[in-house]
Amino acid sequence: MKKLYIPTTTLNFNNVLSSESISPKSFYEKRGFGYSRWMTIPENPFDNCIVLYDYIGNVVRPKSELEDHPLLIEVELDENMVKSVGDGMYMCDHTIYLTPTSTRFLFFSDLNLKITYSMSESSLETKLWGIYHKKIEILQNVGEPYKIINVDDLSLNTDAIKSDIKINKLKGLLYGYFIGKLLSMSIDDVKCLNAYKEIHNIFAAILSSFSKQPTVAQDERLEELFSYINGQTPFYQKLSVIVDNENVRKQVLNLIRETYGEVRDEVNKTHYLSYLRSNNEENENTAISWIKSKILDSEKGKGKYGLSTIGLDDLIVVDGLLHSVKGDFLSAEVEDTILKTWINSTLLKNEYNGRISTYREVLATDITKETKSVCGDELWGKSTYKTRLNNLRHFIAGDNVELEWGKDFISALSAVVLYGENWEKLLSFMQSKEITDYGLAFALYGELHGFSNLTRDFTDVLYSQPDRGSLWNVYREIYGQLLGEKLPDLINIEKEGDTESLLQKDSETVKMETIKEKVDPIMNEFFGSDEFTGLGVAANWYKKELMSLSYIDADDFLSQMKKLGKKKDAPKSTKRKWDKCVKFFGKAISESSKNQAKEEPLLFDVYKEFPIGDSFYCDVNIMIHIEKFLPEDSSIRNQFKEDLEWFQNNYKESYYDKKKGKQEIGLYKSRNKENAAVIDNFGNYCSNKVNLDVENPKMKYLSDRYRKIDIQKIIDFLKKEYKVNV
Amino acid sequence: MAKKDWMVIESELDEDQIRVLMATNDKSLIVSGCAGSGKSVLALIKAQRIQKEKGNNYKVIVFTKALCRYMNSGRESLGLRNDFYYHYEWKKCNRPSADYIIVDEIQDFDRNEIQEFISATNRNFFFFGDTAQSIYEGLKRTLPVEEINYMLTNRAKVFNLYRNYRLPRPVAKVVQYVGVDLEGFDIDTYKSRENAIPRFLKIQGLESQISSIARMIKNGSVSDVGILVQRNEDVRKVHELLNSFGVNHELKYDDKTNWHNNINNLDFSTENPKVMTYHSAKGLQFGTVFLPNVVSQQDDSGRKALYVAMTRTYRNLIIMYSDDLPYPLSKIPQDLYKKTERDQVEDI
Repeated sequence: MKKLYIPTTTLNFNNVLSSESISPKSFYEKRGFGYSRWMTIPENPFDNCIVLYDYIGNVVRPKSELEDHPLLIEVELDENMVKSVGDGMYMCDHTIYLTPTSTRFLFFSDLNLKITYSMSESSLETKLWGIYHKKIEILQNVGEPYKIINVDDLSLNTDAIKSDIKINKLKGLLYGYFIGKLLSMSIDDVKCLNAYKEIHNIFAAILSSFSKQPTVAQDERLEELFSYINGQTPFYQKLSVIVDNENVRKQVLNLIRETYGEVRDEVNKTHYLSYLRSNNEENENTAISWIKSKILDSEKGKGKYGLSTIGLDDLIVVDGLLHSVKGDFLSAEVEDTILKTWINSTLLKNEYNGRISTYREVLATDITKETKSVCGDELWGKSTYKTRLNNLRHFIAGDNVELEWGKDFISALSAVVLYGENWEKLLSFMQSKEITDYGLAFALYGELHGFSNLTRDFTDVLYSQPDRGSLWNVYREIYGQLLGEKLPDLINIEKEGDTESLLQKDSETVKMETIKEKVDPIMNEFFGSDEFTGLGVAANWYKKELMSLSYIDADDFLSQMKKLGKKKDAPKSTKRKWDKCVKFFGKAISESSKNQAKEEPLLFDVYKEFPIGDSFYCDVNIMIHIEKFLPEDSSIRNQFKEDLEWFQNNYKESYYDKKKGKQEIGLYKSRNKENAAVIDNFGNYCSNKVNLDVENPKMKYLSDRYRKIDIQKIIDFLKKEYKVNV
Repeated sequence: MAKKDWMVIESELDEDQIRVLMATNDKSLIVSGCAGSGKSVLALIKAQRIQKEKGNNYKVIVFTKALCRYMNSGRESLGLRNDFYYHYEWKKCNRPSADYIIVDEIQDFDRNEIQEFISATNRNFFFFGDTAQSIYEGLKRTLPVEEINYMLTNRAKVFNLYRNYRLPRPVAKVVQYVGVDLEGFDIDTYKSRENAIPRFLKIQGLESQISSIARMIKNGSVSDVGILVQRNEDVRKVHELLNSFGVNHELKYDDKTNWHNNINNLDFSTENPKVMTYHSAKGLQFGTVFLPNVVSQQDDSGRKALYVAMTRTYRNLIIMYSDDLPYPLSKIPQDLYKKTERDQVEDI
């Protein structure tokens, strides 16, 4: 493998991170997916090939009205993949697929990096920051300018373009599958979410009606929906177990309401309907705020599958074709063949590329014909496939036909054809039909859109998974299936002392974090600790397991460490002791992070990233700057943060009070908003907390916390930062 | 609007948009762009970049309170920390200055107001607008966007965005026969890949028309629906009919005689169809636009309003009428629209 450098401009950065690859310029124009633009520079001038250098040189971009800055992309390639043309220069006539183990993005200044990062923020297709951020670096020393290549361009490699089209679609298929699985929900959660969404629709309809009152039909439906939601609360569930008879249950509930005014956790329809009648158009209606927050809560973290529980071999792609598929969406052998035909033939066509609404009729007809061809006339004539696929075509044409929905593969395809224009719409539609597993549907969605077109909000469902070890396994699996190469285990790279490892520091560059340096010393100390030796004979088993863990950062290591105690073959009766060990290790990691944070330069200076604004009363960044004056105790920090937010909110006309769950009028809305006055008020506000009545336990709690804060220091800091004359 | 509606699919941008997006922040810009060219999104992305690269010393100003509210959904989505001003509010606060001043819909301001923006700018300003969309023609002496540069000693960089990304080509072809004083038709101006042919359906009476709309909404064949009608009283009638068919929906209603009756709290995060007049729909967009009860529009103002309503779609346009096809729709060549609610499909 050879380390090579591709000089280019930051104008191409978003393009590269949308497809995770770099291609010769003409590929972008001809392949029909993703970006069609590629900006050439003199150091890399050709249409049909990429120029690479085997050394780090200087790249200078001319002064421009565009944000055009130099960028070097370091890749590791087999020398057979490139053609040497002497003087340390190489040419490559095909796409180079990147991985975080073999790629670095080298910027020439902090400012260039910052501008490029900022420009990537608004681009929906730029989706791999999370995976590559540790491989984005600033060059400290640059060499001589690159020699300009002086040979002819190569001829266009059309086979490579065809291969790119296939890889893009199949990469979309595999990513879509894993993301779809992560989005899957249990039937109870789906039903609850649907109920909340329907309440939202009805509330919004009432709010924007003339009478602000529900129609009879709306009122009846709301009654049903609220009953359903209340039936899901733990209290109702427990009560149902104790009291069988529904009438008796109602009597018990009525008694509680009469005696105490409300049943805890019960949502009251009448209560919210009254909010809808007192509408103030300036602010969001309280009932609407409430239902939106319920929908958000219902959508958050309700995944049916953890990343580690999704089978890496559910879909297997070999040599650019789907080779095998597992899942309960197939119920007959012929369905396996039909699905593979769709994926390997119909959906793989380049004319089906994103924007499904522009070709859904043609696609549905194409799919129907292909399915008939797989079935043969006899099976087709008597099959439900014929009815269902033709019904889909009729539905698209505007006929009033009822479509069947379930967990089967035709439902998945139909949903994508009808609603796959937008992933959120597709998800919402499947939820409305009480479908609970979205793996196959989003796989088909991913193939039709192609990886390059997938938007960041969709791929973040996967990339934001906290289980970094499993995430790396998924990434490695997809890469292996598509390109036939096995990416290394990160831990193994470290063990082998490979100097070019993913997380290795390089003398020429500034790195954010070195995991090996962080975990290893703590591990050695840990093996000598009382906690570890206290495991007795079981210690050997744990040590062996720990040494073989694959991990990509300290948090990942800790998360896997916790799971060791739950493994089937873990030594018996050591669970509690192991939990203590994990706690001990976690504390050591946390201490180490604090020290390291002081020493290591960050990719972005947090204070620069969140600068102090003009006005204290509405400056949402100020807490970040104040934190350094607060004690380490997280309960004090959280209390202070909550109070500061409350204080600032009260300078607004009105605000949503999270604790009370409703819109409140700002207490200080008419007060002087000059910084000097607001800071003085804040000083008084904090001092009052110190002097609260300590006889009252709640007040004592607050007072105790504020006594530990150096309020004067914070006030002085605020006055200085907001340029208030002392 | 969802967060991603305020971000860009960069691979789909044209060269003109890319130049605006990638332009450095060290020179003032005037961006002139037609309807549907993505000006407002580019304006907020400019604010986002300034915040990330230069800090919070910027102000975003728009003319009306309504537009300010609309832009505020983008402010939250893009994580912009500064409050936005509507013009009156900015003036009331003594025209606060900033290193960077960003103004959207600059075509609605007069020369003095624009001079005030320039005076309040410590470093660079970024103006976005479209002379053709000035809504105060005849009411105030607004300054054409193209003339702003003549006020400056140091000229700003000017960008023009010519392409419309919202209107599907089949709809663009049809509305050419409806609009008034339109520029010469150039199909290449329209970049949307949506290809649904508009449908003009003869259905007798409003009740049958709304029944047909209700059926399409209920069976899920259309989504993100706008039902646009000519007059306020039609909004009331459609509201009652939709209620009778059990379709949840939302109203936008401007009562010129009694503002207490106004309804203006459309919630774009629901699936409810939105019902309003042609005029109220200005600036909004829907996946499917239904125009029930269309009648002849002989005068220019009626045609202009119909044009606004027909151009609110980014996908499907379905027009319904009783009796004869009304003017100016009757002028449209028949091969540009379909007359049936559904297409013929033969089973395979």
